[in-house]
Amino acid sequence: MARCEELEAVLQAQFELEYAEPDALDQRLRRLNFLLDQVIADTPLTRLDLLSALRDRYKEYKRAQLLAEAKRRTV
Amino acid sequence: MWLEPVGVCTYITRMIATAPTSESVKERWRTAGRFAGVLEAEVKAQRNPFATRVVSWFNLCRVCQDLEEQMLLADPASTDDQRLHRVLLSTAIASGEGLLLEQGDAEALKALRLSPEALAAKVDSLRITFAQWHTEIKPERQAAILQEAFGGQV
Repeated sequence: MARCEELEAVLQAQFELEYAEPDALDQRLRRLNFLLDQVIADTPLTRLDLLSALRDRYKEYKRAQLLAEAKRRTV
Repeated sequence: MWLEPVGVCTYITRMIATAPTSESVKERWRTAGRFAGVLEAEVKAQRNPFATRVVSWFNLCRVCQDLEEQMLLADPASTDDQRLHRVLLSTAIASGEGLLLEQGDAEALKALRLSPEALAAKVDSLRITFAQWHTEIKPERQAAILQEAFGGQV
């Protein structure tokens, strides 16, 4: 997976965890952690280091998702 | 890092008394604070069945999420709303930790399509949100982490 695809996958996985139905929460967290671990493999980084550094990217991603959803509702 | 356990209403009352905010913001804080305060009390109320308290906690989480969505869509978020979000999120995390510590009736959670692991996952998600919204990171550190993780491709 290309690095930019990995980034997109992490952002998507965090979003899906945040909006997960109750019975999917555990699985969504495992998915996010799996992707984070792939990205930080062979680095001294922790999952939280990476998520913290992705704060601006994630807010942009989430905002775009919310706007897209709002647009879908009005169509 | 978390707030002392005096209740979300107390914090928001203090914020309203001390923060130089507009009347409309203060009214919004009062409404959110009252709602969150009721939910927080319901989560803590031992007289309630465990499953009922968990539902109240999820509703408290939803109040946080709703405020966060408003902040994102109002980009840039006001400092006042960020403070309110921090208080509500801290309360939700503390309440969720409390539920986890109790290790309540796992059978009762099944009716909600939940498990102790799912509750823990939700708390983890809130912690991530707290880290992304309410902790500091130096721009050079942030850039170094992204460089290390993704190289120059992002």
